[in-house]
Amino acid sequence: MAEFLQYTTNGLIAGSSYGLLALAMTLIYGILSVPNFALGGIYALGAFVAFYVVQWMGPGYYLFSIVPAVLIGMIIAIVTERLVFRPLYDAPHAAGFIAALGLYSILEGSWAILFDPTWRKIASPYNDIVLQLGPICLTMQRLIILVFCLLFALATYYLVYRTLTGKKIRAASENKSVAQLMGISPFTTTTMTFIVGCVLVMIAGVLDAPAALVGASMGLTPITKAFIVVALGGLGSVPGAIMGGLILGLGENYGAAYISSMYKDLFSYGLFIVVLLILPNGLYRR
Amino acid sequence: MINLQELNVYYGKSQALHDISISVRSGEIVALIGANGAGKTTVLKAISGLIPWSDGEITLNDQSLRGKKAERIAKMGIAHVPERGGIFGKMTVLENLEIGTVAGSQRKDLEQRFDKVFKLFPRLKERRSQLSSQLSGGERQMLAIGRAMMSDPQLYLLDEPTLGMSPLMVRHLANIVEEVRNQGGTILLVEQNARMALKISQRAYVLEIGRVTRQGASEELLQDEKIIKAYLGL
Ligand SMILES: Nc1ncnc2c1ncn2[C@@H]1O[C@H](COP(=O)(O)OP(=O)(O)O)[C@@H](O)[C@H]1O
Ligand SMILES: [Mg+2]
Repeated sequence: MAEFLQYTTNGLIAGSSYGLLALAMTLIYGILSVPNFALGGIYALGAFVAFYVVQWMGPGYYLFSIVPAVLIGMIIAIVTERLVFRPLYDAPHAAGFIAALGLYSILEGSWAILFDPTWRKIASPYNDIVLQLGPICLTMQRLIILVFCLLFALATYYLVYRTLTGKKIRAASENKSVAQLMGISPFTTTTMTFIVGCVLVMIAGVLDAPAALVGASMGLTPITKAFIVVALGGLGSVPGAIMGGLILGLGENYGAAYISSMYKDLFSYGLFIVVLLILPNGLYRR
Repeated sequence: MINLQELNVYYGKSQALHDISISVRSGEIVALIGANGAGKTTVLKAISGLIPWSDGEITLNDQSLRGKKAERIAKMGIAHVPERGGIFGKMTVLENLEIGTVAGSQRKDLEQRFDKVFKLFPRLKERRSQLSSQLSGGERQMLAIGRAMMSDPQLYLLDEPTLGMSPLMVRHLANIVEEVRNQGGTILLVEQNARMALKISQRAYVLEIGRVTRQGASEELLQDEKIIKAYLGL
């Protein structure tokens, strides 16, 4: 039982991070019908921001790095949307998909050149604080990941479902030309969606960084899993992304614990195939 | 209010509209009737900016709509209610109505605006929290018109609001359209149901394969033998 609770906690922590990435992916997918894998490169940038903030300002400033990460996320959202995706609005979705993969490669290559291609660790002060909550043992850093990811996921949910901006995004995601007839600019709405998505991914990068190794290519596996989550939860679905992230995190950790840890990634991809066979539209139909 | 002058519209190389001249004056209901494929929807899409045009002219209160984006035209006060309503099925009734305010000049007195719509459509009030995809065809059409009302537009473009409706619902929607006019609305009403459209409109245009072939007072067109044969099925 104690073990089970521990694996559940681990699963929820991993899952909350997948959920945040998937949320970014699903929002952008909703508005462009393009899985934006370039978010993997932006996630790595978030981790680098945390790395340099800690290096230059000291470990005490680790959580502060969310602030520059958010600002940089906004800028990179506007720039990539304008330069890479906007020229392809009327092109087939495959073109956007290829552009996203191309952009990912450019970002990963740029980080490797700018920040040199070695892997490194971040000295977050929360890595060394070990919490014992009943039978569950976890570092403060991992608790921070769980709490912050869930907080930002809730904030995003609020934005998308309760604010006028979110309603505009949902309207344009459902039908661009009717949204235009309502006075909603598809360009502005897409830019807003990119800002939300890129900011979420930057934050996820900051949060995950101390619990992982920081490097230019660190984003590829998480963003691929996030896409699995998006497909699992129903393409474009916000609750589906959050629930799907948690399910994937739990599935991976239970699988690793009770079957074999060698095949952790195999469980995610296996789960993906099984879900697609049973529920081709994902958990939440769009 | 709105003026179309010798408008030509093309889909690629094929010409859908030929020298269309249509006008709607403030406070009028003007009907645009014609068979399936005549080009009625194309006229509305050209006005609201959903399809580009260059040959001819469209003006709203003497201001040209040439080259303006659809979202800009919506904000100038033209509310295009597309075929089948175009409601957002994944949003609730209330959210659809709220989206309707985006094109309006202000979003204050939101509750008052909801009430105005609910007064005309009590059925929507009962279903205000439901997802719009759960509405019946008639209710969707009501929601689409109600959503357009939320921005207080100068001009409504209604694309076949009674398409596929029961005779009872057709009569109900016809009353609604007249009521919208009574509250100060101006309406360009596209219909295949020519009898209803001619009954509630003051003037009408007949569209055939992209050309205006008849126009005049609706009362007179209602007496015209050819029109009766072609569109009223008598
Ligand atoms: N997107 C389009 N591309 C090419 N042709 C179109 C398109 N939409 C409509 N048309 C053609 O334009 C003509 C008028 O269509 P439409 O305006 O929809 O007629 P109506 O609304 O009167 O039924 C038809 O011949 C139709 O086939
Ligand atoms: Mg039509």
